[in-house]
Amino acid sequence: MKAVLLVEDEQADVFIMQRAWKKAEVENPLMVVNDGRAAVDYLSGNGQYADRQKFPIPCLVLLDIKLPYLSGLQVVEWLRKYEPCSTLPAVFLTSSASDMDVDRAYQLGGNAYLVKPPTPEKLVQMLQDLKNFWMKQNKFPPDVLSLRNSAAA
Amino acid sequence: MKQILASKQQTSIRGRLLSIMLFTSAVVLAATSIAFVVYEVANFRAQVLQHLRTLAAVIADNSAVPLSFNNQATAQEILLALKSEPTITAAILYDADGKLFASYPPGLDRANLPRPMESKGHRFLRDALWVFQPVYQEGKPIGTLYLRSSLAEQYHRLSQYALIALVILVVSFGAAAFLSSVLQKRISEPVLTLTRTALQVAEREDYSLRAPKVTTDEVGVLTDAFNRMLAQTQEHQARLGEQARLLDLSFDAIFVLDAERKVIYWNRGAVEMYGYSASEALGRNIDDLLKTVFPDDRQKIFAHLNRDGRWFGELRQNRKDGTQLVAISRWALDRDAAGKPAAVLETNNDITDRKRTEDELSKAQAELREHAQNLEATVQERTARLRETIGELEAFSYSISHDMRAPLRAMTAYAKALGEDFGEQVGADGKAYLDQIISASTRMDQLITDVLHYSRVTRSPKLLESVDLQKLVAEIVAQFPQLQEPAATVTIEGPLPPVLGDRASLGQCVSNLLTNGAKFVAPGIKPVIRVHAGKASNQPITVENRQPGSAGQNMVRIWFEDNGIGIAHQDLTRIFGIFERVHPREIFEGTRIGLAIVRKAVERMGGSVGVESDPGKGSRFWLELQVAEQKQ
Repeated sequence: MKAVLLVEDEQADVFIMQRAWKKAEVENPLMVVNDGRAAVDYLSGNGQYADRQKFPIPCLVLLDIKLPYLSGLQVVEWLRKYEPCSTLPAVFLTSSASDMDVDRAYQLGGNAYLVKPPTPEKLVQMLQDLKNFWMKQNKFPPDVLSLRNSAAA
Repeated sequence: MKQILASKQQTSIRGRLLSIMLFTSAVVLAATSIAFVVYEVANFRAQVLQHLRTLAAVIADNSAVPLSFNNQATAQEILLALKSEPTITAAILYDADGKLFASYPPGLDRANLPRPMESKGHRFLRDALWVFQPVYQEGKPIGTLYLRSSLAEQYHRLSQYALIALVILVVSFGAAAFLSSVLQKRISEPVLTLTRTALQVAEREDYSLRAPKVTTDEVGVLTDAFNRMLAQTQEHQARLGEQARLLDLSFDAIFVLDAERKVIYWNRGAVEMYGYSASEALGRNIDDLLKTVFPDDRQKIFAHLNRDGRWFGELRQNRKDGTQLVAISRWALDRDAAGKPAAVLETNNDITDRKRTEDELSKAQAELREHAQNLEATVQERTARLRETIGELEAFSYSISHDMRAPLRAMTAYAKALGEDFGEQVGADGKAYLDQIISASTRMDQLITDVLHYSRVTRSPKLLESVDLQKLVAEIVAQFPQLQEPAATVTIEGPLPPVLGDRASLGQCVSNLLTNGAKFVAPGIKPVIRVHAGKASNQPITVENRQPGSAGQNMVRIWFEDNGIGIAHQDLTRIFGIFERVHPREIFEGTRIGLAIVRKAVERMGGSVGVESDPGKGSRFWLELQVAEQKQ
């Protein structure tokens, strides 16, 4: 079962998310980084994140928009240009419902845009929907690098 | 001067007539007299000669015998008989040989005697006449007779004749002079009368005078012609006088200048404008008189006038009292028959006041422009500041939605986690407190949501589209469980017309009104809400005034009638203000922004919102919206 990477700086939201994650019974492990730079480091395997046993490549990234160092939008912008992860599904999960943010998120290559629900119950509901869609219905893109490597071989 | 001229002319014409007549008379008289005298002289001589010849013939006849007989004594006696003829002063008888035979008078001076002549003849001397008569004897000449006659007596007679002629001449001349001087009046008087009239007209400039007609001859004709001319002149003058009077009526200064720019006409407008009377101005050089300052080089202006025949421009001139004025001056050039500039008609209009007003006006306009520019700058500055503020506000609302809600979510989440995980340890009271925390933070979250809605409604661009109201209301009812059975009864008494609006804002309005209606009911009462369309209050929808696309012309009123607690009259307008609420929070939950959002949103769609209510009898909220054109 592949991991899901949550990029969220707000500790309370991380707590709510982890709690709801369990309640919604999402089986994928939830990895958490707290800022945009850490997300980039994680995905590109910099520093401590080189250990892919401990920090596996996720099948889905959940990002807030407003993050320290690099915003969620900037992370996705980078992600789409970073070849190994250029097709990695990125879902925004943020409290901003502004049209400008939504538009920008899709333009830069976001795959979905979710607004944080006001109550934990609703979050649980949302995560159940997310699990049903992304993990059960959806087919993830293949591992790009291994696909290309095998093609080359 | 004129008098002298007149008298001279008078003497001249009279004198000329007189002198012509007298000269004519004198010439005629003199010629007559001379002819008379000449005739007398000739006649007299002829008479004397005839007489003397006859006498000589008789004596010569008588002397033939004595001479033939050489009888000197008899011949002498015959000659002595000449005594009876006093005019014969000498007689000589020569014989055939030319010798003196006899003589008379006896003591005749023998000197200077005429030589004997053979033929007949005569000779006039200064005072005497000689006659020669040959003496014949039987047809043969035998001697010659000489007779001398004195002419003195004849001359005396002649001088008497001359005297008489002179007297007659003088008398005739006098008579002619008298008659001329009397008769010339018949010709000169009419002329003089005419002249006197002409002089009077010239002197008094009185063209109403007429010359009396005395004769019917050429002078009479002349008089008539003159009188006719006077009548025409009088008429012309009357017309000129009328024109001059009209010119005097003009407010403008009108004057005429001759070729040397000297004033030859000066109207009353000019008198009033410049202060100089006509007599002061006439004959003066206008530019010197008014100290005119030209707007351009004088020569250029005059060259322009000469070329085009007109010129106009602004002149600075001085009045008699020394004050300056600005005049708009129009010049028109009058040329003589040869095309040379003869006179200039100037019409001047005092624009000093207007000029001053114009100056002040343009100054005021300049100030106004400056103010306007300042104002514009201020507006731009304020607009920029406002934009900045709006930008900040957006950043602020962004910050609210993003940052401020996070702690709320945390509070709710942790409170719930606490209740779930440690419910038994905090006990019933503890759980109640946790519910309070959750409820407060939920309310806070709703508040933030509503404020954001409100600000979004006020800022959202006004894009109006046709919205199917019937469908929209149904969708909203389907969204909210509290609007559905068994919680509440919402009936749509359709059909509701399509309206012009922004779908999202309109949805917000409808849901706010419906949830309000469901919320504010007395305890234990099931909310019943009726939605239906009606006529706009002040603008009934008729076929005539349906004008697509024009706001306010074609409105529909959508009613939302509930069976709620109603609203007190004093609160009916207050409820649409932001953060206004008429019910204590303890009784009815709410963020107090819902109706403010409705009002703002509807106003932005060109509509309005209102309410009719009586406490305890429910409320009847209405939205007035523009009807959209139905697609047929």
